[in-house]
Order: sequence, then C-alpha cells, then structure tokens
Amino acid sequence: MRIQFTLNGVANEIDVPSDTTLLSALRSQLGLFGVKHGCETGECGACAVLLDGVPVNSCVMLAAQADGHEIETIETLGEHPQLGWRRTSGLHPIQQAFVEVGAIQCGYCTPAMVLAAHALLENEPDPSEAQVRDALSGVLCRCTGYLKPVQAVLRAAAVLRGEAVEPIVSPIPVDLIVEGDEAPEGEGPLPGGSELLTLTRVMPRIQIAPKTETWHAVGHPEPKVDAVKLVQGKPAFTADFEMRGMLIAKLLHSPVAHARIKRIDASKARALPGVAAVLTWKDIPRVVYSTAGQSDPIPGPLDSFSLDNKVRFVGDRVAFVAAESEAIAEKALELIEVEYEPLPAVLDPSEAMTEGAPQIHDEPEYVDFAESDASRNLSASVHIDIGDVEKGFAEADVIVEGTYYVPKVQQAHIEPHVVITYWDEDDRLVVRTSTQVPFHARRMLAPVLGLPAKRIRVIKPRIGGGFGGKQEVLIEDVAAHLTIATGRPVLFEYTRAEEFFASRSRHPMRFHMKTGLKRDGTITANQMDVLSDTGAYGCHALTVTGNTGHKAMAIYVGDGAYRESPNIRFHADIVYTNTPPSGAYRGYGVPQGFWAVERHMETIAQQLNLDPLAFRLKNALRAGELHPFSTAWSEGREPRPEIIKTCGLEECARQGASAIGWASKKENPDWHSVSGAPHLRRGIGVAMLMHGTAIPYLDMGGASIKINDDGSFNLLVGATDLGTGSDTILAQQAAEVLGVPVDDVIVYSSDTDMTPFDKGAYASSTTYISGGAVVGAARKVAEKIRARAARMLSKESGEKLSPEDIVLRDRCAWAPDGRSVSLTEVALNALHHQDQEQIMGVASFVSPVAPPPFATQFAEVTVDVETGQVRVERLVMAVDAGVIINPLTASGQVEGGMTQALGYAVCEEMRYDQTGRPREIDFRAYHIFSAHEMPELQTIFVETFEPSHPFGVKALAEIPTDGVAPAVGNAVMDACGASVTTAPMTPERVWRALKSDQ
Amino acid sequence: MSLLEYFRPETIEEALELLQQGVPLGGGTAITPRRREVSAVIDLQDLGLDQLESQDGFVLIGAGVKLQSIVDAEGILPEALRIACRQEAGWNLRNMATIAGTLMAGDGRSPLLTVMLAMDTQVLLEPGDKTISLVELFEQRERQAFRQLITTLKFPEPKALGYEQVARAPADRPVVCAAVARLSENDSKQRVRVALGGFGAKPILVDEAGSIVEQSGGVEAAAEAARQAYADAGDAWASGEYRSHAAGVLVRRLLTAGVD
Repeated sequence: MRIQFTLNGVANEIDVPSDTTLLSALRSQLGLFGVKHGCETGECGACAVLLDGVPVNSCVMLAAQADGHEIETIETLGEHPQLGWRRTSGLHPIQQAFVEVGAIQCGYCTPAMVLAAHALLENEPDPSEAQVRDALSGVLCRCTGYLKPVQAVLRAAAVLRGEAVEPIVSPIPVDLIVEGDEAPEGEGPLPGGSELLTLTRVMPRIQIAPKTETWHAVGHPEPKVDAVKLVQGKPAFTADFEMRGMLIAKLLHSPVAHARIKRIDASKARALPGVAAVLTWKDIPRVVYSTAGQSDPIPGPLDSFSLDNKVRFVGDRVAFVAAESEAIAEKALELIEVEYEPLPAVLDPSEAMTEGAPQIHDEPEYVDFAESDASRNLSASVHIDIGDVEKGFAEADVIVEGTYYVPKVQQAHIEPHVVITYWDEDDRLVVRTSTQVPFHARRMLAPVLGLPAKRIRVIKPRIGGGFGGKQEVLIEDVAAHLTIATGRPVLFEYTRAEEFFASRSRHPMRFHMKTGLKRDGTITANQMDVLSDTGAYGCHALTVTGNTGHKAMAIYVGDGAYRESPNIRFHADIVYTNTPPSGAYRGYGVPQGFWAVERHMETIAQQLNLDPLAFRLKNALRAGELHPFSTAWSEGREPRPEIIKTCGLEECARQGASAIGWASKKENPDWHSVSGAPHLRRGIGVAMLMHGTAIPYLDMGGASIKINDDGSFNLLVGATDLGTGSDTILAQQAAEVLGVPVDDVIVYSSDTDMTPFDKGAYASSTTYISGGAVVGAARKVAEKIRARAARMLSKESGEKLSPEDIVLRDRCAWAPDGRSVSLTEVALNALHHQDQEQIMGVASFVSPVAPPPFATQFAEVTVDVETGQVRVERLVMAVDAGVIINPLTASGQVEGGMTQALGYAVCEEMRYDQTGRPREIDFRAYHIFSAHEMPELQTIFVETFEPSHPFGVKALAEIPTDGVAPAVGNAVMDACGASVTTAPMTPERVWRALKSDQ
Repeated sequence: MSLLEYFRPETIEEALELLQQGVPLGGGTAITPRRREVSAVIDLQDLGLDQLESQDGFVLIGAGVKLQSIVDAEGILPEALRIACRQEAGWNLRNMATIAGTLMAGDGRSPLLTVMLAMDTQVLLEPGDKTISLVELFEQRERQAFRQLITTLKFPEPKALGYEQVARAPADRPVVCAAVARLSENDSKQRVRVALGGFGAKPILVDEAGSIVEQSGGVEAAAEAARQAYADAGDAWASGEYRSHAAGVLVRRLLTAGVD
C-alpha cells in the first residue's frame, strides 16, 4: 500500500506491504538506521521515533498508521561539527550534552533517549528531574543506570535556556578521608528527599593516587571516541550493514525439553517460493564443539553441534531457514515437519545426578574436560581445599551454617545477538557479528564450517551491549552454514523472545555455607559447597563456577595465624539439566558467590553481635598477602602463586560508610522507622567484594600503532569495546605516552584481518591487558619518534641529542633547551623526506598476576513489613580499581553494573514450568529497571597504583555487579529482621522470611 | 506475502461495516506484534474518538484517548486513575496505547483495568448504542463473535478513589493490586466498589467487600472478604496464600486511609 508522511521535515511517499512495521519501513526502505531493533513488543524503546512530536515505539506500529503524520528520527538532529568545507550546525545541544557527560555507553538506545529528551524539552524547557526520568521511562538502557542520561538532559535543558553550565573538568586531587560520619561539604543528604536523586555534579568522588597528577590524558574525563557517531545514530552496528541480495535467517526451536528427532521433513518448506535453503541435522557435518568463547584449549567439555538429532531444552535448535524475507522464513518454519520421540527430562539440578536420572549427553562424540562425566550429567566439578579445613572447624568456638540460592538471570543487552555472513570476492567467509570474542569466533568456527581459519574474517562493529552474552559463539554458525548453502549474504538476528529461551544466562546456584569462628570473630575455616546448573550445555560451566570460589571465597582468610594459613574449602558440582544453557554474564560466577558469602557474613555478625564492617575487615585479605586461591586453581590451567600488591578495601569501607551515613543510621532506631507509616521500616546494609583482573599467564592482547602524515596515529586493537568505553581508555593510554590529545589517536577495533590478536572483552581485562599492549606499542612508536626528533633537532643546532633527551608533549618532540619539532614534521620527515620509514609499533601484553579490585557496596532500603515489598532507596559503591583512566566512563561502569545487580536483588529471575517452558520471554515479564524507578546511585573511587601495569590500573567492569544483592539483602535484614536466603527478594520471599522469624 | 489488510475508516458507520472483516486497531501496541494472526485491522485513529469530558457527574473518555492523555489530565481525572495509567507503561507506549485497546488487551495484572473496574466503568458499544459493564466486557472480549466497536468509556465521578499495589520493583507489573472507589448512589447513599488485580486474565470485583463497607463500614471484614476472594489466586508469580494476605493488607489500607 502507498503511504505518505513527513519524515524529518520532508514529504515522503513509499509503498509498503500493509503488515510492515514503521521500524522496518524506516530501516529497510528509507535507510534510517538510527532507529534500532531491540524487541518486537514495544517494551525496550530502542526503536523510538517522534510521531507528531512525541516518542512512540516503531516496532509496535504499522507503517500504515503513520500515513498523514510527521515523523522525526535522530537523523533530523545535529551532525558532526566538522565536515570539511561545508559549514555544519554541529551536534544538537542534547546530543552534545550526552557526549560531554558520558551518557553514552554502547549507544544502542542513545538515539531513542535523545529523541525522548528532545520531545520533553520542546514542551518543557525547565524540567524537573522527575519529568526527565518520566520522559526517559519508555527507553530501556542496560548500560548506564540512567544517571548520566538524566544529567545530560538536565544539562542540555540549561544550555537551551541560555544558561552557563559547568565544564566537565578533571577531578581535583583531594583527600576524601573525612572525620566521623559526615560526608564532605555539599555531599550530604539531598534536598527534596527521594524525588531528587541526581547530583548535578557529573564527576564521581575520587581519591587520586599521587603518581597520576601530572598526566594529560590518563585520569581525565575524555569524551568517548565513538560518542559523536553513536549520538547521531550512524549505521555502526551489525544489522545496519546493507548488502544486495541478503537473505534473512530464522531458526526452528524445539518445543520439548528432551527428545530425539525421529523424523524431520523439510521438503514443504524448501518448496515454498522465496525460501533459499532449509538445513536440518542431516544436511551439515556433525562437528562437536563448545560455544564458549574462550582461549585454546577451551576449558570445558565439547558437547554441542550446530544441529543435532536430539534436542535438550525447550528452544534448542532443530533447523535453519534462509529466505528472501522474514515473513517467508517464518512461514517456512511452520512447514517443517518434525516428529519427536520424547525423553524424560531433568529440570531440577538437584535431581540431575541421582540414580536413574536421564542422561542428557549420550552422544559418542562428547569430549570430556577434567572431571566432567556425561554419564552422571556432570558437566564439571571443582574441589579445592586450602590449609586444613577440618582442623580449622575443630578449633572454632562457633560454627555457623546456611543455605542460599540464586536464580538464572539474563544479560538482556538491548541489541540482540546479530550476525551477517557473506563470501567476499576471494571466496573468504566474512562474519560481521556482534561479538565480544572475534578471534575466538574465527578459531572456533573454522572446524564447524569445514574452513581453515585463514579463510574466515570476523569483523566486530559497534556492539549494543554484551555483558558476557556475546562471549559465546552463539549464532554465527547459523548464518555461516546458510551462506555456505546458498552462496548468498545472510542476516540472522535473534528476537527478544529467542534471547530469553535460546540464549545464555547466569548460572543458578544452590550454596551451603559453613564457617568456623572464634568468639572474637576470627574466621578459623570457611567452606562453600555449590550445586550449579549449566543447563543443557556445559559452556563456561567449569570456569564460571570456579570463579565463584576463586573470588567470593578468597576475600575472607581469617585473622592472626589463620591469616598466615587460611583454611578454605570450595566444592562445586556443575550439572546438566534440560533448561536453556547458562554461560558467561558480567561477574562470571562471582555475584552468585557473594550473595551466599555476604549474606552469610551478615548472619554471623548478627549472631555473634559483631560490628559488620569491623568483622569483615578483621578477616579480609590485605595487601602483601597471598591470594589464597592462586595456588589452587586457575580456570582449569596451572595455578601459580600471586601476591596481592594493592588493596583499598579498608579505605573503600570508610569512604562508602561516610557517604551513606552508616554510623548515624545503623544503630539508630529513629532512622529505621518512617514517620506516619508504621508498616514501613528502613534498613542499611553492606557487602565487601573482590574480583579479578584477567586470567594470569593466559589472557593476551595485542596492539599496533602507526603515525600518519599529520602526526596523528592509528591505533589498531583486537580488543572489543562492547559499550564499556574501552576504545576510549585505550586511546587515552596511547595519547599519554605519545604526548598528543586523545583526538589524535584514531582507534579501530576489531577485525581479525586487520587488528592484532586480542582474547576479547571478558574477565575484566581490557583496560589492563589490552591497555598494557597499547602502552607497549606506544612506547615503541615514541622511541622511534624521539630518535628521529633527536636527529632532526641535532641537525638543526649541531648539538648531538640522544633520544633519551627528547620529551613528547603537546604534539611536539621537545629538546631540553626548549626547541621542538612538531609530530607532523616528524611524520613528514619519516614518511617523505629522509631515511624513510613507517614509524610503527606492535606490542602484546600478558600478565603473571590478576590483581584484584576491591569494593564496598552499601544499600539503603525501605521494607513494607506487611507485604514484604522492598524499595531500594540508595546505592553507594566505593571501589579500588587501581588508577582510574577515565572518571566518566569508569563511573558509568559502576552505575550500570549496580543497576543490573539491583535487578538481581529484587526482580530479575528466569523460571520454567514442569515441562521446561519459560515463564519469561519478554521485558514485560522480565523486568529490568527503567529511568523513573531508580534509586539514588553514588560512585566513589579509591585509587591505588597497581605496579604490574604501566598506568597502575586494575579491573572495574564486573565488580559493580557483585555486591548489590547481598547489600540489599543485609539491609532488608537490618530493616525488619527478615533473613532472605533466595534472590531475588520478591515481596513474597520477604514476607515468608518475616513470617518464619515470628 | 502480506495477507494483512489495513483499513482506516473515517466514520463510525464505515468502521462498523468493516468490523466483520477484521479487528479494531487502537494504538497498535497489542495488535502489531500479533499482526500475522489477524486478517485485517481497522485503524480507528480518524474516527475522532479522542474526547475527554465531564458531563452530569460522569466522565466520558473516548475509546481512542491515549493513556498519556489520561496521565496529563491533572485536576480533571482522579489521581489514582492517573497513577494507574502511569503504572501501565513507559512514556513511549503511553503515547500510543488507547484506553479501549488497553481494556481489550489487558490482563488481571493491569493497574488501569483494576482501577476502572472499581470505578464502575461502563462501556459504550456500537452497533446498537449498547452499554455494558466492564465485567461484561471482560467476559465477552475473548469471544470470536465479539465484533463490536467501543466508542466511549463512561464512569461516575468518584467521591474518592484509591489504588495500591505490590510489585517487585516500582514500575514492575503488580503481583497484587487493589482499587477502592466510593461512588454516590444518591444524596444519602454511597456505593463502595473494591477491585483486586495482579492475577489471572482479568481483575475481579469483590462485591462482598464493597457491601460490607456500605453497610457497616467494617474495614477488617472487608479486608477478609478480599482475602477470601484471592484465596486460590496462585500462579507462577505468587502463591494464593501470599496474594490472599496482600490483598487483605491493601484493601484494609485503602479503606483506612479514606481513599481520597
């Protein structure tokens, strides 16, 4: 049908099938890729456009409905401020504010947020924070925690009103240590109560390590290097790439939890006009592999096939289809005839290893890793005993035991898994994919596709969030098989429902904790027994659960003699069930472990009448001590001892306690009650945390840097920025070494043909590992620049200068006498004038240690003691992540991580019925926090200088997900005495815990 | 490949003629994801059903009024109704979803349906200029034979209206919610309607709770009636035991607070 509308101020007329959504029309027909696909039911809002001036979600609107209306997309707002000879108006003030305050992480939802803000400010130039939050309420963001987007809108509003706004300046090095319990001036309780959550100050509180004060790029709030692109909604993501003749792929999923495919007949589907290929298990080679994106050899069993004659969960793969359109592909799925032979299913992990339980993996190709035993549905197991645990228990005055549970939860990145595959002109297979692990993907796909790795090129464009979900080679093979079958380009993108029932998730676990203590609170022995559910496949089974112990059970070693020789036991069985596979999710087993450990520690502190902070710090690991697990386990590889060099845990506790007002609240009965509301009780809670930084002796990142004619640099890294800002902080590290502004470093990541190897974005490693490589490459380049500059300056003056005399600063190479040559002159000299060479450096970095970041998480809650409903009012996190390269991106990581963890605390959970069918398949059922329901968030950085890295950094990405749930749980217990052992703390669970206390 | 037919009638009469061929399309938020299950949609946007007015002690809301228009009607519509509307969805979807579409598609966990049920909302239908109650609409809406067009929602201006909910997070869908409306029957008599939501395919009216309050004002007895009404309201989201308890708490609170 023919429809007419005004699009970005211009009259438009298009022909569309009547079932076309506005989203599809805008992207496919009109090439407006600023409108994003995140779901099909309107809940995520990534597809927002303005319809007659207000935001609407174009995925739940037929294009026909727009007939006669005005539509605006992000493309109507600003543009790059410098486009050659043509004058531009630059970015719109809203876009500019989003760039300046660090409101953009992955950028996938950014256009929608900017449009919503635009609609608000057109009608309300001076909005309250509540109005801003309501305006953003229709757009889900999984990265930011909404704090910086809200700040951006408030800032833009001020700019548009003609008011001056504070510049975003580097943090002033201040000593944040404060006396007593008072927060520093201006940081006390905010006026306006809970209605006002957003501090107008954009920068986080930061206690700076002394070494960093003279740096010009590292430590500064540089805008993200990809922000200008993302804020304009440029076609930067996988699905934004257009190819002539591209087919659309769809996947037929199993409707049953466990069955053999007795018969499968795709003839009717293949006969459907417009279908290019249908593949079943009969049509492709049977190659066993693991989908876990990890280094070689993969530390887990090989138990997966692209397609198999058996299905192991509701949602498992049955067949692939490629067709000319999505509608034809979906119709073809309906025409595939499948006869299943149902098998008994195991849905409860506690029954997986019982006598007579159905065996989920009985295929002869199954390849064991370590202690996996498919005959017992055992995907992996870990047994670690440090010290003499039984002796430690025997020496204890008190033994406290408890059982705790955590659920399966979803990464819920707003950009779904998406891939495009095609043969290039050399008949090499190009895989353009939203992945965290491009190099692992190439290596792992090769045998599955029957191609040598050299004939596969993996390109990672921008990623719309990953959080571990894209550390899986999950769907690349589907598109690749179909390209091999048809010879044509294929686009395969998961729906939101598929993300829930056929993707990966956080392992659900059951814990039993047993802790021996002296009366003074000294831990004499600590034991954790875990039952972890890997679902139908064992991807990440061993390593996720191993990290549960490696981090969460390492933090408390005991005190006195026990500190010298701690007694720790960690036993875990990771079992198969007929449920969707678990996998990697930000935190990687550690949030699970800290739920158990920190809920348990709080229970102990209460039972022994110990101060919760002092008790924890008394037993916690300190600088100079051996990481207790370092000699026991290392992700399935050889463990080697690691000494903790830096630990800011105690200072984090002090700063966090000060910020949240711990001392004035914890033991104050008045504070715990709410005036006029006897059914409400306030509570405050804490959790102490440690994580890791990459995998020692294994994780390697590479980088190359070359100089250009104008003295700028190309930085090529295999590292994968999935929205975290890693491209930016890598550029900052290069710029610091090279003495240039960050703007002079052009970052490209990543492409297996173009960029050096990097193991990928996981294990909180990029700033440290890839950063180490970047610094190494930059130093090599700097050395060559200094040598050439010394020759140039020597020639000019006749005085013999050595490279060591030259300093790189302000885009110049400086001699001690104040003379200089610009880097442009050096580049022209090198490339064109004399002893010509390409000044270039390549380096890689691997570390013998995994220096742990430490943190203290505080939470404040209000509990309705009649209904059990919990309202989280405030989250404060103080983090020692070493030196902070960029306070804006770093605080964004903490805010976003705390927000994901907030969902883990109170509402996120994936459950299945008795047949294995999922309860959650959309964002209506699976609730993630939106802008208008957020608690106040505050981030504090306590810097230390980690000596194993040139700029003193440690990891930051994952630790923010570790502590919110237990801190909230402890706050609930503080509020009303309810000891909830199962996350999330739903109203019913809290109510039941309250009842059991009575 | 598209089998869907799209119509955009300009008059009610034209729309009624098309009703036999397809389903009415309000904002599209519910129908669009299911568009391959229907043969035709009748887009109601040009019918002028977007009026919102007070008339002789009643509020009349056109079927095509967007949820955001209700949220924006501060001082015109009861606060609890506006709150329930805000709870229904974020800004973007509220700019799209119509009130009639929400009443047709919403389930028992809808705050808006629960409040409108308490308010004794009447549904004006064409053809036939019929008026049915919301309870009747909930019964009839699933029938294939329900080929009628909602034109207007009508409810008496309440003397008082309150809404409370329990959910995992502030903007999550409630697992239990309750609405209490005090309505004028005549000058001397007041009618009290208590609705429970958070469960099942539709919210329910707890007639007994309302009657108890009307007759004796007994808050605890009314709360007990609410508890009884949800005694078996268990599903994957909450047990019947919990919902029953929480329903009693919320109804007691609403009645104790005076519902203003």
